[in-house]
Amino acid sequence: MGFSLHERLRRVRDVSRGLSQVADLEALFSMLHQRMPGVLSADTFLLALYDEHSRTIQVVRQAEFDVELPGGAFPLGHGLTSEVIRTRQPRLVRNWSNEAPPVQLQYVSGTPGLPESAVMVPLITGEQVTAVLAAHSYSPDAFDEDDLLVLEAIAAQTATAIEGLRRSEHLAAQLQERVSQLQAVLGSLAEPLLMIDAQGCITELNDAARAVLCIDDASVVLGQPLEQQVWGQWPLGSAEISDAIAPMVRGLLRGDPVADCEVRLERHGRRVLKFSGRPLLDARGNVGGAVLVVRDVTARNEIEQLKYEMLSVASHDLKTPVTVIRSQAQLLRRNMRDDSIARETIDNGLATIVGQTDRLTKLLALLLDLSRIEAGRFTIDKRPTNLASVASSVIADVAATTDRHQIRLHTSGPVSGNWDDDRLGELLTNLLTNAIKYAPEGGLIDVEIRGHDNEVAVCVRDQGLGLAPDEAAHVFERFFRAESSRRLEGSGLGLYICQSVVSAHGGRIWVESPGLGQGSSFCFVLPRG
Amino acid sequence: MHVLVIEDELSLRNTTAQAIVSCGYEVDSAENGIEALARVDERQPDLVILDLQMPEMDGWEFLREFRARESCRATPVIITSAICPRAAPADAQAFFEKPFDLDELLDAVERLLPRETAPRAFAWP
Repeated sequence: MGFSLHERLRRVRDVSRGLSQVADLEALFSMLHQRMPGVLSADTFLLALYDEHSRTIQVVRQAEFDVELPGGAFPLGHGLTSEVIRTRQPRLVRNWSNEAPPVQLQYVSGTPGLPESAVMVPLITGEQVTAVLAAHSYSPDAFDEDDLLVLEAIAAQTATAIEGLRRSEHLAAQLQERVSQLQAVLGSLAEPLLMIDAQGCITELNDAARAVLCIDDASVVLGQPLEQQVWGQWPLGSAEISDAIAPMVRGLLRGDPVADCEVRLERHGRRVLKFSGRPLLDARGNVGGAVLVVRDVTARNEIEQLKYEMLSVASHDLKTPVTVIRSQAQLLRRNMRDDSIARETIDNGLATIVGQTDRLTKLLALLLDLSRIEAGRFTIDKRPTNLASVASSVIADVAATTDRHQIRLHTSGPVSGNWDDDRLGELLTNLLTNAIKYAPEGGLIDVEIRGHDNEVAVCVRDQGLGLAPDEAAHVFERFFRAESSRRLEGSGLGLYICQSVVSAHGGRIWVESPGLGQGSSFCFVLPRG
Repeated sequence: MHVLVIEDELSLRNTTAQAIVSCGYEVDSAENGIEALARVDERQPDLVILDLQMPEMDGWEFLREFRARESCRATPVIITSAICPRAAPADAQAFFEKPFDLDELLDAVERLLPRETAPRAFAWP
């Protein structure tokens, strides 16, 4: 080298410039190799990593003249490279044949002979030798102390660059690990979740989201824009979903705060899905996508709807008896001011008040039953019960309320079992009052109780208005007929509760009707319990 | 003076009718809008007490049909309802939400229904 040591060390700075920006060790070696002639003349040049744990030397790459060659691995041994690693000292070899064990190198150039001189420097990070930089020459005395100093300076810069690379590799590995962990978490989340990128394309969709959106495993949706027509091919009215959430997605991708969005699906049964979204910001704070959480709120929606219906119907129906009681009391007070008021008027007024309080009590019991059923807390109190005697007593009470109907009881076989006699009394009362109500012209009502081995079957048959087939399918639903009448009394809630009583006993209830105008039979079967 | 009570609940219809009678008025009653229009056509009422929620024909529809009759344009109407509507009908003169105060209802009847001797205190557009 014709330059002064000072000049050469200054040039090392140029050699080192940009070393820390390289993507990997191979690129680092190439950069060093290309810049080396400016500061150090050598025939061959290599960069080797040392792994203390496995005591292995890993040549990253090596070069002979202008040609770069792949590296290889060898265990820590007795050669010069190994010696440099062991002693942690740089080494200047002026005359290899005399100073060190021979080394066999075979390069592409086919240059004869062995390297005759070398400079070798360990790269030390902390206490550890992490790598070795070596330059060889086929001529003896090719290097001096200055060359060693220059290589040491390069090695120091290279060590920093390798450390940086290792750190970023470590970070990349850590990042990859975090990504894997997050994907595992997303996959196992019970909460349906999907992620979209800045273009609105789906990048993640967990199993729960696939389930709630009815997208099978085989359907490829990743990478598809949320607004694309292809959503229409999904089974669950996905076109409705994408239409409904499109404004939300656009808002999210603009970085605007967005309100939750409910999507009502009427195809394949009623379902209500609620979408909540948050924008995802990248490192610079720009919107890089969004995460959407989907919840199936169908059940909650139905409960809210039922609560609303119950409250509105209850408030309406409770107000009527309260109004009558209050008005009658006020009317009695007005009348009492007149001394000549007939005793009969007072009696009638008080009877009306008592009657209306009974009605209120029944309404409240009905509401209480309804709320118990909805809360899953409808219970029965079983005791030995004779169904024939329950029926006789109910028939006697109900028969007293009508002079147009004749109620007959038929029993056969054993009719006793372990049941809630109060609830069965209510059930029969309900069926009989319905039979009377829906046979306004009067007629025969037959109550048939048949005992079998393990169960008892009951049928209440009237000759009344009967049911159309489509009505028969719905009579046991709560608030059936409510669309027209919106009343607790006579709203079909009675039959809904009847069904709950039978179900609580482990039985089943159904209705048979030949058609409109041909009467109907309400039948139920109870296991003996 | 003749009052028409339109209410689908029998007990409340009877109670209201008794109270009106006790004030010295004549009372007719109907359990829905259709029956009420038939009563109106039989005998012109001087005041109507009207429930809103009824089967067959509800209070809103009755009121439209009622006001469409030339002779009924100026007849005072008192609405009683379990549900407070967002906007009470503009062509009713009073509104009482159930459970109402009977004394207040009767006060309104007396206020809106002039005694035979008194001149009509209101004019209708």
